[in-house]
Amino acid sequence: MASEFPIDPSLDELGRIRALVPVLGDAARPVPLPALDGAWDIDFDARNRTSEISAKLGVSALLATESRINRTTAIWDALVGKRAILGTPEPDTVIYETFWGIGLRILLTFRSTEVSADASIAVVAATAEYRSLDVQYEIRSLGLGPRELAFILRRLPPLGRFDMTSYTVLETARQSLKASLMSALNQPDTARRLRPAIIKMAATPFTGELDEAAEYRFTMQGIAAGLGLADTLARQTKTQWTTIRPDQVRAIYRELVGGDGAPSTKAKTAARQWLVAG
Amino acid sequence: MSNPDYIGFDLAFRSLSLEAAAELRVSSIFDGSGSGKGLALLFDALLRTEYAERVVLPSGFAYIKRKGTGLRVAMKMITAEAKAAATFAGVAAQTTLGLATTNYKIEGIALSQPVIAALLDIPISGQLSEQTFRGIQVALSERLPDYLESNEIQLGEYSEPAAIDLDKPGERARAINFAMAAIARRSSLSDALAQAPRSLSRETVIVTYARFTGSVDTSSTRRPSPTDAEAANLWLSTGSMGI
Repeated sequence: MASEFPIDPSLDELGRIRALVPVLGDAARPVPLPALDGAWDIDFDARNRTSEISAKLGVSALLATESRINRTTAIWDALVGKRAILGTPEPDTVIYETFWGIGLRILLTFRSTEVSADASIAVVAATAEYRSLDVQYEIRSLGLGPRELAFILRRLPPLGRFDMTSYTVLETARQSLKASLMSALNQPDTARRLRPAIIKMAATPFTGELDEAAEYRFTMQGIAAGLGLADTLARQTKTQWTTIRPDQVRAIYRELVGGDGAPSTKAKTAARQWLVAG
Repeated sequence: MSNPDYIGFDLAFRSLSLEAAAELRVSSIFDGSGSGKGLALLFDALLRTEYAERVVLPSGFAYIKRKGTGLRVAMKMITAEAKAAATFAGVAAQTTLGLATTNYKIEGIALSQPVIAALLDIPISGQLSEQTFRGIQVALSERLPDYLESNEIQLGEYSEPAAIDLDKPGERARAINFAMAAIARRSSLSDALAQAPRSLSRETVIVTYARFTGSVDTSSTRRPSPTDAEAANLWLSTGSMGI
């Protein structure tokens, strides 16, 4: 299970990663920026994630409903900065590593049925070129300003297709950026410009929307039948609901019923209505 | 030259339903679009600050209010089938080949109308063609960079469409459950939306249908296939679709 996620670098007023606040609440805090001494860290990797999760993390742009299904987003970073690792994580720590950086993030979104979901960037480019695929690409920057935007706009075709030519242009731009990013880090305002860009989490808080909905439906069935939590959970072994996570069922049940005991008449009625009419 | 506290820039392409674009007011070109066969497309070339405020509308659509500077190209693409092109070039190709009619409008974020006009060799709004597509490219790759480098940059507010229902898994599950039951009954998307309780997220119902039918056409009266109905029934009784 992938636990490393490129994220939107925006922080809220409490210093939490804005995109993760809805799912993690107060645990959405990046590992604090460490002292800026020693060598800088570099992250020039590509990571593939489903487009659904990338959009939720604010990393890639929102796609129309039909085009965000069965799509993969390859996140191709060119970042320099500092990797912050939590020395002694608490048992309930979710984010235990954060890469703080500045640089360029290129996002390629393609249909998983046309290109393998774990394909490298070069393979995506080659497939796009030879099979004429319409691969979406976006460019985002972290900690860069108007001068750098002007530089990128002049050199890259912002409205073009992603193919072998644009791949070569982008790869050249990434490599030439390394030296200028390193020198940018020697400026006095470096600490202010570094953004949380990639995090590692103890467990992914994301699941597919259908699996998540199935957990609600399974729990609602138990409540509608008047079952307590233990009997609701026991149904899983007697039925074919194999994808659901008992921890999630437990949380949903407690939220809706208010405890582990048998549900009230009101809760049973509400669950029946939910199952029938939505 | 002093600059506001930018945290970076975005060169991003987004596509969303005309209904969502009209609701989210991302550009005046989509006003009154409502449901229909087509797509709303946005290309942003924007510098942005840390500021972000998530707003969820009563209809379930959500957007993020941001502050920044730059250009937004909004396009309304009308096609026989609401098939999404994944790039701006793809939209231009479909339009040039006569497979779609696309209108565009250039919006400036913190840029005045005279400034926008000075960045363009083409009208601020009109129909997309080879000539206007080229004009937009010139504005983005030549004029905008020149402007950014030689002018004092101001900040303006803009809205960015957001992923829906992220913070309400229960609401999302409710809408998916409703849609699955409707697919299992082989109700068309337009019938399902007509029967959906007002509090239900329409966008989630549409997304769930699109997984089966591949279309986001909210006026579609096409019924899901018997195979789709069977898969939805399996999900309703086991939580998976057996794939």
